[in-house]
Amino acid sequence: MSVALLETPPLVPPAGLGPYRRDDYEALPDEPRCELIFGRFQVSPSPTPLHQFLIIALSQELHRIAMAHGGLALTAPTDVVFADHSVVQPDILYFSRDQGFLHGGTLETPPDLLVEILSPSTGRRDRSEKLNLYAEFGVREYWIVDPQLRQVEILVNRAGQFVVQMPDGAIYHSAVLPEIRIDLEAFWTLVEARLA
Amino acid sequence: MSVALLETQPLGLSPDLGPYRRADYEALPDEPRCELIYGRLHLSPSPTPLHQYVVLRLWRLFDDIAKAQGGRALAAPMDVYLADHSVVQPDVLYFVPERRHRIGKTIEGAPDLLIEVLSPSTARRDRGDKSRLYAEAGVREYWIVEPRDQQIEFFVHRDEHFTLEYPDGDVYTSPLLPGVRLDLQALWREVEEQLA
Repeated sequence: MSVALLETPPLVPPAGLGPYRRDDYEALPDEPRCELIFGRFQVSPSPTPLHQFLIIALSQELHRIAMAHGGLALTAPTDVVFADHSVVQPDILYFSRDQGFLHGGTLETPPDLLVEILSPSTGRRDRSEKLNLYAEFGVREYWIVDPQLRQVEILVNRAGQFVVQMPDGAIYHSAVLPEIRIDLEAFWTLVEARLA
Repeated sequence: MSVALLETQPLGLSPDLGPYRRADYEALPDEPRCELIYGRLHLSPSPTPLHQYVVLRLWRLFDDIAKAQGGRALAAPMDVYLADHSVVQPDVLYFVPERRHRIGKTIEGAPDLLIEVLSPSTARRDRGDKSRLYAEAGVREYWIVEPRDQQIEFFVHRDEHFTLEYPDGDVYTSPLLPGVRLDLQALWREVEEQLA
C-alpha cells in the first residue's frame, strides 16, 4: 500500500477526515514512526536528548503519583486508540485508575492526562489538531511542555473545550485530578541545573 | 532612583506583587523600553523584522475591522494601564465602539482584544504572567501568535478564565467580538511572500 505521510503539519487543520483508518495504521511498518490523526498519517520526528530527558523526568513525577494512588503513567511510543480515525502516541499518558491495562490489549480509553513535549516540527500539530482531538475525546487535562521556554501550559477540559489553568505560584495542584500536585518551579530548576 | 529591571522572565509565575507601581513606571526614562507587570519591571527586547511585520499586518486587519465597526485599533508601544501594579505594551490592541472611550490621553482599563506576537525572550512572560494578568483584567480575547511555527492560539474570556477557541478550517471568527474574523491561510501566505 502506498500511503501519504505528512511530514509538516498543515497551516490550518484540514476540514473533514482524511482517508486512513485504524486498519491502515496497523498495516504500516514500524518505521518511520507516525500517528494517525483525523484520518491522516503524520510523521513523528526523532526526538532530541532534551525532549527525551523531559519525558523521563516528568513521567517519573507522574509515575510516583500513580503508584501511590492506583493510577498508571506511561510514555511514548504507546498507541492510544481514540477513534477509528485517530491512533496517537502522546509523550506521556496518565490514567488516574489502572484498569488492568498492563494485562494486555490496546489502550482504547482516553487517558485522564496527556503531556506533549514540543519539538520545533510538531508545535503546530500539538497545539491544533492534537489539541482538538484531545478536547473532543474527553482528555481531562492536557499539558503542553515547551523545553526552550521551560514552561508548562496547563489546559483543563470543560465540556469539550480546553480552559487555561495557571499554577498557584510554584505549585500546580490539579482540581480535576486531585492527586496531582507538582512543584513545577522545582522541576524546571532541576532541569536547568542539569543543563548548566 | 535605581530600579531593578528583569531581563529574563523567572521560571514560575510571580508569587506576589513586586515593589514598583505606576508612579515609578512613569518616572522612568523612555529607554530601555520596559513594562510593569505585577509590580516588577520587565525589559522589552528590540523586535525582529518578522515580529514587526506580523504585528503590522495584524494591526492593519484590526484597523479595517475598527473602521467597519466603529472601534479602534492601536499597536505597540502604547502604554495600557491595567492596574496600579501593571502597565503593559501589548503588540496590538483593539477596542469595540462601546469601550473606545478608554482611549484618552492614556489608556485606562482592559482593551477588548490583545495580541502578543512571541519572541524567544518574551514568550515565557506572554504565556505566563501576562496571560494571567489579561484574564484578571477582563481582556475578552487574547491572541498569542507564534510567527516561527505560523500558529495562533485564540483565548476567549469565559467565567474568569481563558478558553481556547479553534478556527473553523482556514477562518477564525470571534465568538464575542462582532466583525473580528481572520483568514489564517491568507495571513501566513502573505507573511511568507513578504519575507521571502
